[in-house]
Amino acid sequence: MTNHHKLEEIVSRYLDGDMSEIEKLDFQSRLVTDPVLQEEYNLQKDMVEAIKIYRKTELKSKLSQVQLPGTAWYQTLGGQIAATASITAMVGLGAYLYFSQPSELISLVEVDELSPVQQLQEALPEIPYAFIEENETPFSISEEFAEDQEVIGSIEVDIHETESSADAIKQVHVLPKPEIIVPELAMVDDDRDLEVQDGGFESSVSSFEKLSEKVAIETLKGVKKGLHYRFTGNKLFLYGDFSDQTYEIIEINTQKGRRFYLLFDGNFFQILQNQIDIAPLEKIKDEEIINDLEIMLRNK
Amino acid sequence: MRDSEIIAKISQGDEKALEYLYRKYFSMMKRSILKNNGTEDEAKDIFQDALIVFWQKVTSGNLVLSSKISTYLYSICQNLWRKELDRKKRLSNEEKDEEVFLKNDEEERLKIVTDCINQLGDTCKKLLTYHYFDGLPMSEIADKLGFSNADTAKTKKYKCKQRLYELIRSKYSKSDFLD
Repeated sequence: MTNHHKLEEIVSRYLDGDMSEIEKLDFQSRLVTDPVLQEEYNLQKDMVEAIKIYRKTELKSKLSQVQLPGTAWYQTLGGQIAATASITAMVGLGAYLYFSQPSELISLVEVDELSPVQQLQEALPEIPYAFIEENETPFSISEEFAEDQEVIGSIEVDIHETESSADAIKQVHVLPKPEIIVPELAMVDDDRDLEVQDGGFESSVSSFEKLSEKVAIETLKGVKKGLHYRFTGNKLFLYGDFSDQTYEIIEINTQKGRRFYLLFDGNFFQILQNQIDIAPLEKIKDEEIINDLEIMLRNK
Repeated sequence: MRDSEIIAKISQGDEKALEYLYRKYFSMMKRSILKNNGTEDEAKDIFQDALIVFWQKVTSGNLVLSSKISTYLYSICQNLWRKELDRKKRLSNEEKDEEVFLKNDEEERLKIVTDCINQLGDTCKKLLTYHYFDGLPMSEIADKLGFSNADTAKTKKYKCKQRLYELIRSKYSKSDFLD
Protein backbone atom coordinates (compact mmCIF):
# COMPACT_ATOMS: atom_id res chain seq x y z
CA MET A 1 0.00 0.00 0.00
CA THR A 2 1.44 3.34 -1.00
CA ASN A 3 1.80 6.19 1.47
CA HIS A 4 -1.01 8.03 -0.18
CA HIS A 5 -3.32 5.08 0.11
CA LYS A 6 -2.44 4.79 3.77
CA LEU A 7 -3.27 8.45 4.28
CA GLU A 8 -6.51 8.01 2.40
CA GLU A 9 -7.46 5.07 4.55
CA ILE A 10 -6.65 6.80 7.82
CA VAL A 11 -8.68 9.87 6.92
CA SER A 12 -11.56 7.72 5.71
CA ARG A 13 -11.59 5.76 8.95
CA TYR A 14 -11.59 8.98 10.95
CA LEU A 15 -14.49 10.50 9.00
CA ASP A 16 -16.45 7.26 9.11
CA GLY A 17 -16.10 7.07 12.88
CA ASP A 18 -14.17 3.80 12.72
CA MET A 19 -11.40 4.83 15.12
CA SER A 20 -11.02 4.28 18.83
CA GLU A 21 -10.74 7.31 21.09
CA ILE A 22 -6.96 6.97 21.32
CA GLU A 23 -6.63 6.69 17.55
CA LYS A 24 -8.81 9.78 17.11
CA LEU A 25 -6.68 11.83 19.47
CA ASP A 26 -3.56 10.68 17.68
CA PHE A 27 -5.05 11.60 14.31
CA GLN A 28 -6.14 15.03 15.52
CA SER A 29 -2.68 15.86 16.85
CA ARG A 30 -1.09 14.72 13.55
CA LEU A 31 -3.55 16.81 11.59
CA VAL A 32 -2.28 20.00 13.20
CA THR A 33 1.33 19.44 12.10
CA ASP A 34 1.10 17.43 8.86
CA PRO A 35 0.12 19.52 5.78
CA VAL A 36 -0.18 16.47 3.51
CA LEU A 37 -2.60 14.89 5.95
CA GLN A 38 -4.47 18.19 6.16
CA GLU A 39 -4.86 18.30 2.39
CA GLU A 40 -6.22 14.79 2.27
CA TYR A 41 -8.51 15.47 5.22
CA ASN A 42 -9.92 18.64 3.60
CA LEU A 43 -10.61 16.86 0.35
CA GLN A 44 -12.46 13.97 1.99
CA LYS A 45 -14.26 16.28 4.39
CA ASP A 46 -15.57 18.35 1.47
CA MET A 47 -16.66 15.14 -0.21
CA VAL A 48 -18.60 13.98 2.84
CA GLU A 49 -20.14 17.44 3.35
CA ALA A 50 -21.25 17.54 -0.28
CA ILE A 51 -22.85 14.11 0.06
CA LYS A 52 -24.78 15.33 3.10
CA ILE A 53 -25.91 18.51 1.36
CA TYR A 54 -26.90 16.50 -1.70
CA ARG A 55 -29.13 14.28 0.41
CA LYS A 56 -30.58 17.19 2.37
CA THR A 57 -31.44 18.99 -0.86
CA GLU A 58 -33.05 15.83 -2.19
CA LEU A 59 -35.27 15.46 0.87
CA LYS A 60 -36.21 19.16 0.85
CA SER A 61 -37.08 18.97 -2.80
CA LYS A 62 -39.41 16.02 -2.14
CA LEU A 63 -41.09 17.89 0.71
CA SER A 64 -41.55 20.98 -1.48
CA GLN A 65 -43.59 18.88 -3.88
CA VAL A 66 -45.98 17.76 -1.18
CA GLN A 67 -49.36 19.46 -1.38
CA LEU A 68 -50.13 21.01 1.97
CA PRO A 69 -53.65 21.27 3.37
CA GLY A 70 -55.19 24.59 2.39
CA THR A 71 -52.96 25.12 -0.61
CA ALA A 72 -53.96 24.67 -4.20
CA TRP A 73 -52.15 22.13 -6.35
CA TYR A 74 -50.53 24.87 -8.38
CA GLN A 75 -48.77 26.18 -5.29
CA THR A 76 -46.61 23.07 -5.00
CA LEU A 77 -43.39 22.84 -6.96
CA GLY A 78 -44.72 20.00 -9.09
CA GLY A 79 -47.92 21.90 -9.67
CA GLN A 80 -46.06 24.98 -10.82
CA ILE A 81 -44.07 22.92 -13.30
CA ALA A 82 -47.24 21.29 -14.60
CA ALA A 83 -49.00 24.65 -14.83
CA THR A 84 -46.09 26.19 -16.73
CA ALA A 85 -46.02 23.27 -19.15
CA SER A 86 -49.80 23.44 -19.66
CA ILE A 87 -49.80 27.20 -20.18
CA THR A 88 -46.89 26.92 -22.62
CA ALA A 89 -48.79 24.26 -24.53
CA MET A 90 -51.90 26.40 -24.62
CA VAL A 91 -49.97 29.44 -25.79
CA GLY A 92 -48.41 27.28 -28.50
CA LEU A 93 -51.82 25.99 -29.54
CA GLY A 94 -53.21 29.51 -29.54
CA ALA A 95 -50.36 30.74 -31.72
CA TYR A 96 -50.89 27.84 -34.10
CA LEU A 97 -54.60 28.60 -34.35
CA TYR A 98 -53.93 32.29 -34.87
CA PHE A 99 -51.44 31.79 -37.65
CA SER A 100 -53.22 28.86 -39.30
CA GLN A 101 -55.10 29.02 -42.59
CA PRO A 102 -58.78 29.79 -42.10
CA SER A 103 -59.92 26.34 -43.22
CA GLU A 104 -57.56 24.65 -40.81
CA LEU A 105 -58.69 26.97 -38.03
CA ILE A 106 -62.33 26.17 -38.58
CA SER A 107 -61.71 22.44 -38.58
CA LEU A 108 -59.81 22.59 -35.35
CA VAL A 109 -62.49 24.68 -33.68
CA GLU A 110 -65.18 22.29 -34.83
CA VAL A 111 -63.38 19.30 -33.42
CA ASP A 112 -62.57 20.88 -30.10
CA GLU A 113 -65.60 22.45 -28.51
CA LEU A 114 -63.96 23.40 -25.25
CA SER A 115 -62.32 26.78 -24.88
CA PRO A 116 -58.59 26.83 -24.03
CA VAL A 117 -59.42 27.62 -20.41
CA GLN A 118 -61.89 24.77 -20.24
CA GLN A 119 -59.36 22.46 -21.83
CA LEU A 120 -56.82 23.44 -19.21
CA GLN A 121 -59.34 22.81 -16.46
CA GLU A 122 -60.21 19.44 -17.96
CA ALA A 123 -56.52 18.55 -18.00
CA LEU A 124 -56.00 19.39 -14.36
CA PRO A 125 -55.73 16.47 -11.97
CA GLU A 126 -58.40 16.27 -9.32
CA ILE A 127 -56.83 17.32 -6.10
CA PRO A 128 -58.65 16.37 -2.94
CA TYR A 129 -59.12 19.13 -0.44
CA ALA A 130 -58.46 16.74 2.40
CA PHE A 131 -57.57 13.13 2.57
CA ILE A 132 -57.44 10.39 5.08
CA GLU A 133 -54.71 7.81 5.27
CA GLU A 134 -55.62 4.18 5.03
CA ASN A 135 -56.77 2.69 8.29
CA GLU A 136 -57.62 6.02 9.79
CA THR A 137 -61.17 6.37 10.97
CA PRO A 138 -63.07 9.24 9.47
CA PHE A 139 -64.42 11.99 11.56
CA SER A 140 -67.86 11.00 12.79
CA ILE A 141 -70.40 12.79 14.85
CA SER A 142 -72.35 11.08 17.52
CA GLU A 143 -76.06 11.00 16.75
CA GLU A 144 -76.91 12.39 20.14
CA PHE A 145 -75.13 15.60 19.23
CA ALA A 146 -76.54 15.87 15.76
CA GLU A 147 -79.83 17.52 16.63
CA ASP A 148 -80.26 21.17 17.49
CA GLN A 149 -76.71 21.95 16.78
CA GLU A 150 -75.05 24.65 14.81
CA VAL A 151 -71.71 24.71 13.16
CA ILE A 152 -69.64 27.46 14.67
CA GLY A 153 -66.08 26.32 14.33
CA SER A 154 -63.65 24.17 12.41
CA ILE A 155 -61.53 22.20 14.80
CA GLU A 156 -61.28 18.48 14.18
CA VAL A 157 -62.45 16.47 17.13
CA ASP A 158 -62.46 12.74 17.30
CA ILE A 159 -65.65 12.19 19.25
CA HIS A 160 -66.19 8.56 18.49
CA GLU A 161 -64.08 5.74 17.14
CA THR A 162 -65.78 2.52 16.31
CA GLU A 163 -64.36 -0.74 15.07
CA SER A 164 -66.88 -0.93 12.27
CA SER A 165 -65.89 2.46 10.87
CA ALA A 166 -62.20 1.51 11.06
CA ASP A 167 -62.82 -1.71 9.10
CA ALA A 168 -64.94 0.06 6.55
CA ILE A 169 -62.17 2.36 5.48
CA LYS A 170 -59.91 0.51 3.11
CA GLN A 171 -58.82 3.20 0.73
CA VAL A 172 -58.18 6.89 0.54
CA HIS A 173 -61.34 8.97 0.64
CA VAL A 174 -61.89 12.52 -0.41
CA LEU A 175 -63.87 14.19 2.35
CA PRO A 176 -64.75 17.72 3.21
CA LYS A 177 -62.82 19.13 6.11
CA PRO A 178 -64.51 17.92 9.30
CA GLU A 179 -66.26 20.57 11.36
CA ILE A 180 -66.84 20.74 15.03
CA ILE A 181 -70.40 21.00 16.16
CA VAL A 182 -70.94 22.90 19.34
CA PRO A 183 -74.41 23.58 20.60
CA GLU A 184 -75.77 27.02 21.26
CA LEU A 185 -75.74 28.14 24.83
CA ALA A 186 -79.11 27.32 26.33
CA MET A 187 -80.56 28.53 29.56
CA VAL A 188 -82.06 25.58 31.31
CA ASP A 189 -83.48 25.65 34.77
CA ASP A 190 -81.91 22.98 36.78
CA ASP A 191 -84.36 22.02 39.48
CA ARG A 192 -83.36 18.41 39.62
CA ASP A 193 -82.49 16.96 42.94
CA LEU A 194 -78.79 16.48 43.05
CA GLU A 195 -79.10 13.80 45.73
CA VAL A 196 -80.61 11.22 43.43
CA GLN A 197 -79.48 10.97 39.84
CA ASP A 198 -80.15 8.57 36.98
CA GLY A 199 -77.16 6.29 36.88
CA GLY A 200 -76.73 6.33 40.63
CA PHE A 201 -74.65 9.39 41.24
CA GLU A 202 -74.53 10.59 44.76
CA SER A 203 -73.99 14.20 45.32
CA SER A 204 -71.50 15.34 47.80
CA VAL A 205 -70.29 18.79 47.21
CA SER A 206 -66.55 18.71 47.53
CA SER A 207 -65.71 22.00 45.93
CA PHE A 208 -67.35 24.96 44.38
CA GLU A 209 -65.36 27.27 42.20
CA LYS A 210 -65.98 30.10 39.86
CA LEU A 211 -64.29 29.76 36.50
CA SER A 212 -65.21 33.22 35.44
CA GLU A 213 -67.88 35.62 36.45
CA LYS A 214 -70.31 33.64 34.37
CA VAL A 215 -69.55 29.90 34.75
CA ALA A 216 -69.50 28.06 38.05
CA ILE A 217 -67.95 24.65 38.65
CA GLU A 218 -68.97 22.04 41.14
CA THR A 219 -67.19 18.74 41.68
CA LEU A 220 -69.06 15.80 43.11
CA LYS A 221 -68.07 12.28 43.97
CA GLY A 222 -69.56 9.78 41.61
CA VAL A 223 -70.23 6.12 42.19
CA LYS A 224 -69.94 5.17 38.55
CA LYS A 225 -66.52 4.29 37.20
CA GLY A 226 -64.75 7.01 35.26
CA LEU A 227 -65.32 10.72 34.96
CA HIS A 228 -68.61 12.30 34.01
CA TYR A 229 -70.10 15.75 33.71
CA ARG A 230 -73.04 17.83 32.86
CA PHE A 231 -73.21 21.45 31.89
CA THR A 232 -76.44 23.32 32.27
CA GLY A 233 -77.00 27.03 32.16
CA ASN A 234 -73.70 28.42 33.32
CA LYS A 235 -72.89 25.70 35.78
CA LEU A 236 -70.54 22.79 35.20
CA PHE A 237 -70.85 19.68 37.34
CA LEU A 238 -67.89 17.30 37.38
CA TYR A 239 -68.43 13.79 38.71
CA GLY A 240 -65.51 11.69 39.81
CA ASP A 241 -62.53 11.67 42.08
CA PHE A 242 -61.00 15.10 41.65
CA SER A 243 -59.66 15.32 45.15
CA ASP A 244 -56.14 13.93 44.64
CA GLN A 245 -55.09 15.86 41.57
CA THR A 246 -55.58 19.33 40.27
CA TYR A 247 -57.65 19.94 37.21
CA GLU A 248 -57.91 22.85 34.89
CA ILE A 249 -60.79 24.16 32.84
CA ILE A 250 -59.84 25.92 29.63
CA GLU A 251 -62.32 28.35 28.21
CA ILE A 252 -61.78 29.54 24.66
CA ASN A 253 -63.76 32.56 23.64
CA THR A 254 -64.28 33.09 19.95
CA GLN A 255 -66.53 35.36 17.99
CA LYS A 256 -68.83 32.44 17.49
CA GLY A 257 -69.07 31.35 21.08
CA ARG A 258 -67.24 29.64 23.89
CA ARG A 259 -65.59 26.26 24.06
CA PHE A 260 -64.55 24.43 27.16
CA TYR A 261 -61.96 21.76 27.80
CA LEU A 262 -60.91 19.96 30.94
CA LEU A 263 -57.29 19.09 31.64
CA PHE A 264 -57.03 16.33 34.21
CA ASP A 265 -54.47 13.64 34.90
CA GLY A 266 -52.50 14.57 31.79
CA ASN A 267 -55.48 14.25 29.44
CA PHE A 268 -57.72 16.73 27.70
CA PHE A 269 -61.47 16.25 27.64
CA GLN A 270 -64.01 18.18 25.68
CA ILE A 271 -66.90 19.70 27.57
CA LEU A 272 -70.04 20.42 25.62
CA GLN A 273 -72.34 23.13 26.75
CA ASN A 274 -75.99 22.29 27.13
CA GLN A 275 -75.07 18.77 28.20
CA ILE A 276 -78.15 18.38 30.37
CA ASP A 277 -77.83 14.67 31.05
CA ILE A 278 -74.83 13.28 32.81
CA ALA A 279 -72.39 12.07 30.20
CA PRO A 280 -68.94 10.49 30.33
CA LEU A 281 -65.99 12.78 29.81
CA GLU A 282 -64.32 11.72 26.58
CA LYS A 283 -60.60 12.09 26.08
CA ILE A 284 -59.50 14.14 23.12
CA LYS A 285 -57.33 12.03 20.85
CA ASP A 286 -56.74 14.43 18.01
CA GLU A 287 -53.07 15.31 18.34
CA GLU A 288 -53.40 18.64 16.62
CA ILE A 289 -55.98 19.84 19.14
CA ILE A 290 -53.90 18.50 22.01
CA ASN A 291 -50.90 20.40 20.71
CA ASP A 292 -52.90 23.62 20.36
CA LEU A 293 -54.19 23.30 23.90
CA GLU A 294 -50.73 22.54 25.28
CA ILE A 295 -49.34 25.58 23.52
CA MET A 296 -52.12 27.73 24.90
CA LEU A 297 -51.40 26.53 28.41
CA ARG A 298 -47.69 27.16 28.01
CA ASN A 299 -48.29 30.66 26.75
CA LYS A 300 -50.90 31.74 29.30
CA MET B 1 -50.60 7.10 12.22
CA ARG B 2 -49.34 6.80 15.74
CA ASP B 3 -46.04 8.32 16.76
CA SER B 4 -44.52 4.89 17.28
CA GLU B 5 -45.53 3.83 13.77
CA ILE B 6 -44.06 6.97 12.27
CA ILE B 7 -40.76 6.41 14.04
CA ALA B 8 -40.67 2.77 12.96
CA LYS B 9 -41.21 3.76 9.33
CA ILE B 10 -38.58 6.51 9.43
CA SER B 11 -36.07 4.12 11.04
CA GLN B 12 -36.35 2.05 7.91
CA GLY B 13 -35.88 5.09 5.70
CA ASP B 14 -39.52 5.43 4.60
CA GLU B 15 -39.75 8.97 3.20
CA LYS B 16 -43.55 8.83 3.02
CA ALA B 17 -43.65 9.08 6.80
CA LEU B 18 -41.74 12.35 6.58
CA GLU B 19 -44.21 13.70 4.04
CA TYR B 20 -47.04 12.68 6.35
CA LEU B 21 -45.55 14.72 9.19
CA TYR B 22 -45.07 17.67 6.86
CA ARG B 23 -48.72 17.69 5.81
CA LYS B 24 -49.98 17.09 9.30
CA TYR B 25 -48.08 19.71 11.25
CA PHE B 26 -47.28 22.46 8.77
CA SER B 27 -50.23 24.68 9.77
CA MET B 28 -49.25 24.59 13.40
CA MET B 29 -45.60 25.45 12.70
CA LYS B 30 -46.55 28.11 10.18
CA ARG B 31 -48.76 29.89 12.74
CA SER B 32 -45.91 30.01 15.20
CA ILE B 33 -43.42 31.45 12.72
CA LEU B 34 -45.86 33.97 11.26
CA LYS B 35 -46.49 35.22 14.79
CA ASN B 36 -42.75 35.72 15.16
CA ASN B 37 -42.12 38.00 12.19
CA GLY B 38 -41.72 35.27 9.62
CA THR B 39 -43.26 34.70 6.21
CA GLU B 40 -44.96 31.61 4.87
CA ASP B 41 -41.95 30.76 2.72
CA GLU B 42 -39.68 31.04 5.73
CA ALA B 43 -42.07 28.82 7.67
CA LYS B 44 -41.85 26.16 4.95
CA ASP B 45 -38.08 26.38 4.89
CA ILE B 46 -37.71 26.19 8.66
CA PHE B 47 -40.17 23.33 9.06
CA GLN B 48 -38.53 21.37 6.26
CA ASP B 49 -35.16 21.84 7.98
CA ALA B 50 -36.69 20.74 11.28
CA LEU B 51 -38.13 17.61 9.71
CA ILE B 52 -34.76 16.77 8.20
CA VAL B 53 -33.08 17.16 11.59
CA PHE B 54 -35.72 14.82 13.02
CA TRP B 55 -35.22 12.40 10.12
CA GLN B 56 -31.48 12.20 10.73
CA LYS B 57 -31.94 11.65 14.45
CA VAL B 58 -34.31 8.78 13.90
CA THR B 59 -32.51 7.06 11.01
CA SER B 60 -29.17 7.19 12.79
CA GLY B 61 -30.71 5.72 15.97
CA ASN B 62 -29.80 8.77 18.04
CA LEU B 63 -33.28 9.85 19.04
CA VAL B 64 -34.61 9.42 22.55
CA LEU B 65 -38.11 10.79 22.37
CA SER B 66 -39.76 11.70 25.65
CA SER B 67 -42.60 13.74 24.23
CA LYS B 68 -44.93 13.68 21.26
CA ILE B 69 -43.34 14.06 17.86
CA SER B 70 -45.28 17.28 17.33
CA THR B 71 -43.86 18.80 20.53
CA TYR B 72 -40.35 17.77 19.53
CA LEU B 73 -40.71 19.20 16.03
CA TYR B 74 -42.14 22.38 17.48
CA SER B 75 -39.06 22.81 19.69
CA ILE B 76 -36.71 22.25 16.76
CA CYS B 77 -38.61 24.83 14.71
CA GLN B 78 -38.45 27.35 17.51
CA ASN B 79 -34.70 26.86 17.86
CA LEU B 80 -34.04 27.08 14.12
CA TRP B 81 -36.20 30.17 13.77
CA ARG B 82 -34.49 31.85 16.73
CA LYS B 83 -31.09 31.19 15.12
CA GLU B 84 -32.33 32.57 11.82
CA LEU B 85 -33.61 35.74 13.50
CA ASP B 86 -30.26 36.14 15.28
CA ARG B 87 -28.40 35.65 12.00
CA LYS B 88 -30.50 38.33 10.31
CA LYS B 89 -29.86 40.75 13.15
CA ARG B 90 -26.12 40.15 13.12
CA LEU B 91 -25.78 40.81 9.45
CA SER B 92 -24.51 44.32 8.97
CA ASN B 93 -23.79 45.56 5.48
CA GLU B 94 -20.05 44.94 5.78
CA GLU B 95 -20.57 41.50 7.21
CA LYS B 96 -23.02 40.78 4.45
CA ASP B 97 -20.45 41.47 1.72
CA GLU B 98 -17.88 39.29 3.41
CA GLU B 99 -20.37 36.54 4.00
CA VAL B 100 -21.44 36.62 0.37
CA PHE B 101 -17.81 36.30 -0.75
CA LEU B 102 -17.18 33.32 1.49
CA LYS B 103 -20.43 31.71 0.49
CA ASN B 104 -19.59 32.02 -3.18
CA ASP B 105 -16.29 30.25 -2.59
CA GLU B 106 -17.96 27.45 -0.62
CA GLU B 107 -20.74 27.17 -3.16
CA GLU B 108 -18.19 26.84 -5.95
CA ARG B 109 -16.46 23.99 -4.15
CA LEU B 110 -19.77 22.40 -3.37
CA LYS B 111 -20.85 22.61 -6.99
CA ILE B 112 -17.65 20.91 -8.09
CA VAL B 113 -18.19 17.96 -5.77
CA THR B 114 -21.95 17.82 -6.48
CA ASP B 115 -21.22 17.54 -10.20
CA CYS B 116 -19.02 14.55 -9.43
CA ILE B 117 -21.76 12.99 -7.26
CA ASN B 118 -24.17 13.34 -10.16
CA GLN B 119 -21.84 11.26 -12.29
CA LEU B 120 -22.21 8.31 -9.96
CA GLY B 121 -24.83 5.65 -10.54
CA ASP B 122 -28.06 5.69 -8.51
CA THR B 123 -26.97 2.84 -6.27
CA CYS B 124 -23.74 4.59 -5.34
CA LYS B 125 -25.54 7.87 -4.69
CA LYS B 126 -28.06 6.17 -2.43
CA LEU B 127 -25.44 4.12 -0.64
CA LEU B 128 -23.27 7.11 0.15
CA THR B 129 -26.17 9.38 1.16
CA TYR B 130 -27.82 6.71 3.32
CA HIS B 131 -24.51 6.12 5.07
CA TYR B 132 -23.18 9.67 5.52
CA PHE B 133 -26.39 11.61 5.95
CA ASP B 134 -29.12 9.25 7.12
CA GLY B 135 -26.66 7.24 9.22
CA LEU B 136 -28.56 4.06 8.44
CA PRO B 137 -26.80 0.89 9.57
CA MET B 138 -25.24 -1.19 6.81
CA SER B 139 -27.74 -3.98 7.36
CA GLU B 140 -30.61 -1.57 6.70
CA ILE B 141 -28.86 -0.17 3.64
CA ALA B 142 -28.29 -3.70 2.36
CA ASP B 143 -32.03 -4.42 2.71
CA LYS B 144 -33.08 -1.23 0.98
CA LEU B 145 -30.72 -1.61 -1.93
CA GLY B 146 -30.99 -5.38 -2.35
CA PHE B 147 -27.52 -6.43 -1.28
CA SER B 148 -27.12 -9.90 0.15
CA ASN B 149 -25.71 -8.72 3.48
CA ALA B 150 -24.11 -5.83 5.35
CA ASP B 151 -20.57 -6.78 4.35
CA THR B 152 -21.45 -6.68 0.66
CA ALA B 153 -22.99 -3.24 1.17
CA LYS B 154 -19.88 -2.07 3.01
CA THR B 155 -17.60 -3.23 0.21
CA LYS B 156 -19.80 -1.53 -2.35
CA LYS B 157 -19.76 1.66 -0.28
CA TYR B 158 -15.98 1.64 -0.28
CA LYS B 159 -15.92 1.26 -4.07
CA CYS B 160 -18.46 4.05 -4.56
CA LYS B 161 -16.51 6.36 -2.32
CA GLN B 162 -13.32 5.53 -4.21
CA ARG B 163 -15.03 6.26 -7.50
CA LEU B 164 -16.22 9.64 -6.25
CA TYR B 165 -12.83 10.37 -4.79
CA GLU B 166 -11.07 9.64 -8.08
CA LEU B 167 -13.56 11.77 -9.98
CA ILE B 168 -12.87 14.72 -7.73
CA ARG B 169 -9.10 14.31 -7.77
CA SER B 170 -8.78 13.74 -11.46
CA LYS B 171 -11.03 16.58 -12.46
CA TYR B 172 -9.94 19.41 -10.27
CA SER B 173 -6.70 20.87 -9.02
CA LYS B 174 -5.57 20.68 -5.43
CA SER B 175 -6.01 24.42 -4.99
CA ASP B 176 -9.78 24.01 -5.21
CA PHE B 177 -9.74 22.25 -1.87
CA LEU B 178 -7.15 24.05 0.16
CA ASP B 179 -8.46 26.61 2.65
